[in-house]
Amino acid sequence: MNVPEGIKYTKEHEWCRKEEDGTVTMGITDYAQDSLGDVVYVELPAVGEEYESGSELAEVESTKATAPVYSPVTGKVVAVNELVEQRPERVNESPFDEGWLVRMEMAVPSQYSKLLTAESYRVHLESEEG
Amino acid sequence: MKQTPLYDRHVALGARMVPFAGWEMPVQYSGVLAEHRAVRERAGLFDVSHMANFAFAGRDTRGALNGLLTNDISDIAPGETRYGLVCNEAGGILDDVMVSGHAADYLTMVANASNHDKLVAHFAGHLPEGSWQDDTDTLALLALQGPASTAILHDLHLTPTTGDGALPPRGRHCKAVVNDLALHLHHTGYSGELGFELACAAPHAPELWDLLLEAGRPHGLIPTGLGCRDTLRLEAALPLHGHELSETITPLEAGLDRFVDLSGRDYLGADALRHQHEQGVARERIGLVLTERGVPREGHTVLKEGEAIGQVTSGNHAPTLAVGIALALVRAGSTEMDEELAVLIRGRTVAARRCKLPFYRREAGRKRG
Repeated sequence: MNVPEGIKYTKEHEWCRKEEDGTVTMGITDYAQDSLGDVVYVELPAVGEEYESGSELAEVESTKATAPVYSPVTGKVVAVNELVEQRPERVNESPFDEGWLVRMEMAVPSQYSKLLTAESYRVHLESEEG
Repeated sequence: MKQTPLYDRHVALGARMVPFAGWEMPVQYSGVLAEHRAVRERAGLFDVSHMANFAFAGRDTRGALNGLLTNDISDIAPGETRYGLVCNEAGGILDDVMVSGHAADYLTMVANASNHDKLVAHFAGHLPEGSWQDDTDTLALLALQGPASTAILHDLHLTPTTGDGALPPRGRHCKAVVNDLALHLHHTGYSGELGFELACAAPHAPELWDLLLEAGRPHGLIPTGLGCRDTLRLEAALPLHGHELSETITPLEAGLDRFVDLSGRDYLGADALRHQHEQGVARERIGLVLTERGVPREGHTVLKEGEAIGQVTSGNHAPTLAVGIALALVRAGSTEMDEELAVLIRGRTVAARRCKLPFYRREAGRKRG
C-alpha cells in the first residue's frame, strides 16, 4: 500500500495534508480505496459547513459498500473536489492527489500535529491486517 | 471455511477472497466494474462451485420432490431445466432452485449455497430415505456468461454427447466432453446475458477452468467474481434469496406468479399460496431508478409523497446504466409505473422513479463475439 511521507493520517484511513495557506486537504488513503473497490459515488459536504473532528464529513460508495469518511480535524469546509462527484473513479486511481475530497480551515490548528505520521499509520495498517 | 476445487486458481489470479455462505470465494479479480463490463460486452468466467447440488433418483422421487416445489416438474423432460421455489407451509420461500431432468427417475437440483443446510434438513424430513443425495462437495460448477460464450465453447472444441449434438437452447442442458473431460452443459445463468453453466467432477474443475480461460482469451474472457455477479443479476432484476426472497416473502409477493402452480396440485405451501392469490397480496416487488445522484441499498425506505410504502431489498449503482437502481418490496397497489417516488438514503430524500423490470435487457440478435 502506498503511504506517502510528509502528510498525516487517521486510524479510520483518512489522510490530511497541510497547505501553504494553513488550510488542510483531506481524502481517503490508498488502503481505504483498495478495500472499498470501485468507487461509484461520492457525497461531499457543502462549502461553509462546520465539522468536529471524528464526525461524518463525507460518504464514499463502492459497488460493494458504503463507507463514511470522518473529519480528521475540527473546522470549516472551504472547498470540495467537484471532480470526484463527476468522476468517482479518480478516488481509486489517485487517492492522494486528484482524488482528494475536502479542504478545511482548522479551528484548532494544533490538532494537525496530533494526527498519525506516515510511519505510525503504517504500523496501524500492519496491526489491522494481522 | 470451505474452499472450492478452484481455490488455488483464484489465489494465483490475485482474487480478493471473502467469506460467503461458509465458503471462501473470489469477490473480485481486476475490479467489479471491469468484470461487469466484460460480461456485458465479451465474457466472464465465474466459479460457482459453492452452490448446493442435489441428485434425486428412484421411481417415486419425482412425485415426492414435486410435493416440495411450487412449479410442477412432474412432466420435466430429459434435457430440460426448470426454475422453481421451495416453500414452507405458509408459502414463505425456503429457496429458489433450478431443477434439471435427466431420465424418468433421475433429477438434479442447483440451489443457493446459503440455503444448503436448510434444504438438507428439509429433504431429510420430507423425502424417502435413499431417494436423494447431496453432491455439493463432489461437483464443481463454472458459469461462462457473456455474448462471446458460444464462440468460446466452439473454440474449446466442446462436443455435446446427448440431445441433437448442438449446443442446448436456453433452459436446456446436455452431456458434453472436452478433451475426454466429461461435463454437463446447461444453457442457464444469472447475469442477464447469453451464457452457460458447466458442471463437472470436482477433481476436473481446475483443468476445465484453465481450458476455458485459454479458449476465451482471444474473445476477451476474464475471470469474474461474486461482486459483479451481484451487480449483473440486479441489472437483470433477477431475485436473490435473502433479499427479494425469504421465508417471510411468498413467490406471489416477489412477482414470481408464473412459477406458482395454482391449479389445485398439492405441494407444501399450496393452500397458503392459493389463499393469498384469492385474497390478493399485501406487498409487491417493484423496480426503482434514481433520478438524483445516490446509491440505494438494502433496507432503505421507499417514500411516496413523504409516506413510507416499503423497503429496498437490493440496491446498487448499475454499472451498465450508470445510475442508482433498486428492487423494493412495497405496499401492493400503492404505486403506478413511471410514478415519481423517493428513497430515504441515510436521512437524505433522493428522487426515484418506478420503472419496468428488468433494468437491463440484452439486445436480441446481438452479435455473439
